[in-house]
Amino acid sequence: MSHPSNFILERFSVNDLAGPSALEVEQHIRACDGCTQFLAQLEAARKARLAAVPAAQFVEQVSARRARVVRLVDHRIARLGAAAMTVLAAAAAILLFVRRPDHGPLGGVTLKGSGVAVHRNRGGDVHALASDETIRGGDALRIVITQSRPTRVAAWVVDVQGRIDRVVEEGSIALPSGESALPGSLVVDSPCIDLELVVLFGVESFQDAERRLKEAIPDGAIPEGTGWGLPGALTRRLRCE
Amino acid sequence: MSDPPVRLTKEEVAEAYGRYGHLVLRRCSRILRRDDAAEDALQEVFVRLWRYGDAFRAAESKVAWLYRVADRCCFDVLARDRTRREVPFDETGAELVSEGSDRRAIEDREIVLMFLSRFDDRVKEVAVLHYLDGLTQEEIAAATGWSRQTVVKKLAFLADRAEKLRAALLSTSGAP
Repeated sequence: MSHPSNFILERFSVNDLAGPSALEVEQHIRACDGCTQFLAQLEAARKARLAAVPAAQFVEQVSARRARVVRLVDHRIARLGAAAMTVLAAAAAILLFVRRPDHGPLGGVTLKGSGVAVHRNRGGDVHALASDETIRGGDALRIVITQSRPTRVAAWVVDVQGRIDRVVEEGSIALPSGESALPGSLVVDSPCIDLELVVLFGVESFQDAERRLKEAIPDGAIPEGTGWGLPGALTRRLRCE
Repeated sequence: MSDPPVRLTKEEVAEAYGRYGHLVLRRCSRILRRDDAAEDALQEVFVRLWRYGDAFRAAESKVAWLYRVADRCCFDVLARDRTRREVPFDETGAELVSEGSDRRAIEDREIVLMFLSRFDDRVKEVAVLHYLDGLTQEEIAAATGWSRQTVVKKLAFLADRAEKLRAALLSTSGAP
């Protein structure tokens, strides 16, 4: 056989090739100094890497990064200043109230002043996301809640594959009346996939709410409009470009 | 009703890092050409591995899955860098064009990777599969799901751009 590609050799080096292909590559390597040398370089790189950053240390770094991403985005948005955020929140809340019938799951249900706005930070450009605007990988999203009385609020994002992520790591959070941003921000993964934001007001039992939400997600699809199993929840579809 | 996706445990992430981490880092380094950025991208890849552990488990080739994620992470970094600062020719080309360089000394691969951020993501993907992984047209078509004709066009585009960038680099450096 001719020289395997780098990709094939890299896969071979970590036993990622299926039987017949691996045998073929193995036979080639026995007679090829160049490929043998390449594999030796890869193994040396593996050992050097693990010596420099052992697995346990790396996992801690990644674990910390998962939490840090949220806070980093927070600080960036915070720099815009409270005044700007208030104006944006007000504008977004107005937009939401006007457009709620377009994307709310509850149709004619009166929500007594509860509202959800999504602020998108894209390369430093922050504004409230209109219903016809889209998201893409790398966007940071901040969720701003408006409610007429203090309650506990929980929020989740659900992707089209049915994965559920909490917006508030602790589950739910007590918020005052008026406008409040949920702590942290969501960073849209790349490649982007459509998301559904689900916000529940007046949470009494977070565990129960999350269980009902999980039960309401059908296989591989976000339900359109209804069927979330959370009476009183607001949902908002966040579509990718 | 299917169960919610199960994420990897810390032990599984550690095992994946021990086995594949050096390959992912190597790839990120070659795409981004900056050690700090590559290290950052490596962590981001494993954040996503943690999150999408079920997809990783199901992947026929773990390396291919990780490389796809790594490519996306690196392309995002390149896009952000490009938004912040457009690097001029004479600066980016300095390490390629030294005294005594000739046209042939500057391989297409080096030029394409050096200027990867200038291409759109589909072209970037073809560039990485061809110039880094050494895949053939057919293999690229199979990996991306695009037609072979599309792949051929993009490779021709890359070769053409490499030639023009090479000419621009050489004229900037004053090389013959």
